[in-house]
Amino acid sequence: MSDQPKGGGSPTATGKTPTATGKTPARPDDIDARSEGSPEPAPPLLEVHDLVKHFPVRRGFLQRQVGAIRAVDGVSFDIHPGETLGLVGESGSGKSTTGRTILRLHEATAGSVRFRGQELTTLDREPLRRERRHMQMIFQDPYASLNPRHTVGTILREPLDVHGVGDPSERRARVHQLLDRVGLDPAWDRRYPHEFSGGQRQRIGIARALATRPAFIVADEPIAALDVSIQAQIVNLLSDLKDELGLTYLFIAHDLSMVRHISDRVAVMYLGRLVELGTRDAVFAQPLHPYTQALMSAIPVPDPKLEAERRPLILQGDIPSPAAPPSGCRFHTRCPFAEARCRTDEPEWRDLGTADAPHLVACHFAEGLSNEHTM
Amino acid sequence: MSGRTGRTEDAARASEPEVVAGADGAGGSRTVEPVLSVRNLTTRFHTRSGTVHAVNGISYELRAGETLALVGESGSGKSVSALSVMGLVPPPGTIEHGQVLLNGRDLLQASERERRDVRGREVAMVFQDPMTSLNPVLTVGRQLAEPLRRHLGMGAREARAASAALMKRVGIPNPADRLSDHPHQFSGGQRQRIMIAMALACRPSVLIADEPTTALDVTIQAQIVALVRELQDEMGMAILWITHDLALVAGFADRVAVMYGGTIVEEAGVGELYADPRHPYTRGLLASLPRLDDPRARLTSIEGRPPDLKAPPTSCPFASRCDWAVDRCEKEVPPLMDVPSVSGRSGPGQHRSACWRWDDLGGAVDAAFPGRAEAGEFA
Amino acid sequence: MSERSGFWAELSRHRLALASVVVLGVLSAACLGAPLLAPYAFDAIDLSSIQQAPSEDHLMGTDDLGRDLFTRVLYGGRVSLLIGVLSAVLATVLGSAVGVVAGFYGRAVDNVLMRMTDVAYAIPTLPLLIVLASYTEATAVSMAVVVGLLSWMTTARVVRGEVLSLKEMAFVEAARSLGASSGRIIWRHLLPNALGPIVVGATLAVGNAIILESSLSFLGLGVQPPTPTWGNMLMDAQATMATKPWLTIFPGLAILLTVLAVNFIGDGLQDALDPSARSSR
Repeated sequence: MSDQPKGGGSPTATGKTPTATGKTPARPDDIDARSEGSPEPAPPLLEVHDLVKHFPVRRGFLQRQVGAIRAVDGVSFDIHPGETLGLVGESGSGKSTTGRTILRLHEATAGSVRFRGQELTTLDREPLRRERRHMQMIFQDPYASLNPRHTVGTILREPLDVHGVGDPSERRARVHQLLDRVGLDPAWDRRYPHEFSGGQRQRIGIARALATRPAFIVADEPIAALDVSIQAQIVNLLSDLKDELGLTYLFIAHDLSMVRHISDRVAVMYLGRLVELGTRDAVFAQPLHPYTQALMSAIPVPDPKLEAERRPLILQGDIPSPAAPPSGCRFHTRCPFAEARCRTDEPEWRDLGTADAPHLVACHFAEGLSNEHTM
Repeated sequence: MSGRTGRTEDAARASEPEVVAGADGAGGSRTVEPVLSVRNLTTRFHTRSGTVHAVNGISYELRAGETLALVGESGSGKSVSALSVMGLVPPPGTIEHGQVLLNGRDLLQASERERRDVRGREVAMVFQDPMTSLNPVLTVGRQLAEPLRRHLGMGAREARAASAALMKRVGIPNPADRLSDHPHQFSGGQRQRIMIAMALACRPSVLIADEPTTALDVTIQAQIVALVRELQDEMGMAILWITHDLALVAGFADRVAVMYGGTIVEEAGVGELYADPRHPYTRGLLASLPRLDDPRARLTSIEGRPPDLKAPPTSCPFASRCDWAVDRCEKEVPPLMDVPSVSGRSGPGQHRSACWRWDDLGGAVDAAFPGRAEAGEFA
Repeated sequence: MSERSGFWAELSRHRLALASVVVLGVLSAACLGAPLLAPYAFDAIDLSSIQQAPSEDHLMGTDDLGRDLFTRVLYGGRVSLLIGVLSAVLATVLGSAVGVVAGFYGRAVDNVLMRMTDVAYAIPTLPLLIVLASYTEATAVSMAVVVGLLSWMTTARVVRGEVLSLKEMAFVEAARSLGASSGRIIWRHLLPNALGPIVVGATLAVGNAIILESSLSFLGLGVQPPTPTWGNMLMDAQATMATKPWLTIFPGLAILLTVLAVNFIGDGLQDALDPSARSSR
């Protein structure tokens, strides 16, 4: 379907890509202009522009639509080949919906998703099916994401069967190779998922995602359901695979500290919108949005001495319902720094970073906020 | 109240670095009788496919106003040990032997009727999942009033007023109006607040909190932790806080017991456990935690998987994953041994480790990682 | 390969199921071989030996027309088993298809199919059968078809519910993200995981069909005398249940044995088809 070489960017480009975002304009309108023709050395692998996903709320016998859950409400970002973008948010932020809408597991309500220059949201069924080979997903729950009735061999062969990759003996060899690559014994291909531990199942899920040699992987909270000592194994595996295979990740998580270990850039989402986006170092060294600051502050440090001295910024109240997001800045109901303007004016998406490290934030007062609480 | 003193002492110590290394909040109160004392507790599940050795003879003590964190991963036996204390082990689980002394009385010898009387009044529990631990068809007011009427013999009106006061205390806005709401009308964080209100309704001397924040978002977790700490200062109950998160309890536990494979493998005062862990599993867990203050790219992981609890323990449960393992670890189950604490005080029970090689381990885990030096700039 | 061997290994480990296969096999073989095995003709009236208790000549006794009960149980089984199995197969296939399609496609398709199911539930069985009976004569096959067409709804509902929850499972989403077609998802992911309720539905349907046939026979709408079925034998025996118990006991036992055997086989099948039940045993 595509005239571009498969496998996405070369692994050597990995380290450099974050700087390429230096040219990413703050205004989404400019994105289209650039992707159509200007001679960029490394065009983004994925361009998400004003993505919206509303889930209709239906009631009554006639199933009339009475409202909408505004899960994703205008989200724009790029991901460059070989880059990992960490997408962070709490439950109800729309982070998982964003990942699924990009892969068209949900149909977008509005907006555009371009993958290797190809618009995905309007793609017909068959070309979309072929395109799926190049973009895969790793799921959160290692128990629910593997069909309990299939052997591991069957599970790993499925993507190859679906896309008609190789002949039966090649598929078999590929299954063994995949198992070996994710650190499992190739002889285990006849076992069933329930015979494996959570961490091992997650490795199987990763192997399945890699089967068709995709360029881009959405990892939806791949470690959230795992034990601490196993989380580190999986994160390390994911970053090894990325280096080795030149993969590009959208790494969705609620845990900022884990995101820090794997991301080149970090995006923070709240109630269907991005509130902050910047390089990992910029976001962690100087979080600009009060919500990012609160998120970082809420993460406990495994050191009693530091904990005793920390004065965490504790947010009041709960996350409002995405069916009726607050007016103005969506964070104003919980923001300790909110002023009158925040209740009425929606903050613009502004770049407060440097020329080669943009740091975007959606807060009226981002410049003046202290961030003494974060660490 | 002793809870309050315990806490302030602790805070005072925390500001003096020399003391903090050996500090455990209960150090001064070691002579005080424990409110809860668990001795040699053993719980097994006799399933069709074999016996699961869920808890293998664990012992710990909890003193008034103290917070003991029971830390472990899934399958470590931490939750089963809590349910055993409450006498709520689901079948086919049975408590094989051991003692659970609550204020000096052995709950395991008590009748079911006596135990029912104790539950909710002297020892109460908050569970992990606030979505399923409230009855969805009853109003919150009714559920809150139940322990008040049952244990304290309040009348309907009195219980209603007390329920509203409790809701207010745990931070639910408009408590009087919301008593007639059903659980689904509250958010997850609010439901957990209500669970806490229910648990503390009769001012129990022990609160068992079984991963009360695991199902919640981080910002809500911070609220709940702050709330529980406040309530502890106010009411002085002892808390057994069960969690998988070593980082979470660093901020508020007095002592920490680390569980692995159904046994306690290390127990120490909070400062000492993090500064000088003497069990390879504790060290591995600490090293595998991602830290915001430590930007090293690669996480240290513990290879392998947790032990199969269907086999009775014949070796150190951690031996197969342990870099330090020697022959002896395969042959003999190490008991919990007293370890001299950094502060020099090596009194019994100050710091215990179930590792034959505890003497070869020691010092802060982070010393092995270069990135650690940068922590200073955050402190 | 290993899947297959695991399946048989599990089924053979399930002793009750295995015994049930044997019992049902023997029963079916005996019924099929009735012309060879039966000592009398099924409609041979012998007025000299009516309502006899079981004896050497008449293993199960005789009925009120002196017909040999053993013979009639064997012949009756041919009809009852045929109706039971055929209608259960029909109901299960139809019910599963409706349930899967409704659950998988949802929305309008689901609405239409489920309203159809409600309508089918609401069809009064007896008037329909009376109308049908006035046009055609009831044969075992037509009975099986009618009973099958009247008993798929429960399976459809249960399968729909199962599919509704299964399709939200991450492994189905994973299959979609791989680019698997709807057909592939239904055949390889949804149906195998919905087998539990399908098998339960099928085993229940066998028993229900045998019993439904008997009530229809009682009303004179079933298979017509003198052709015996377990159902009409049981119905005929009603009046004399207290005085001539063998007339009730033997056909009743045959029905009980069949339904029990089918249920145990269903249990075994369910475990044999579920890999996680297989190894935890």
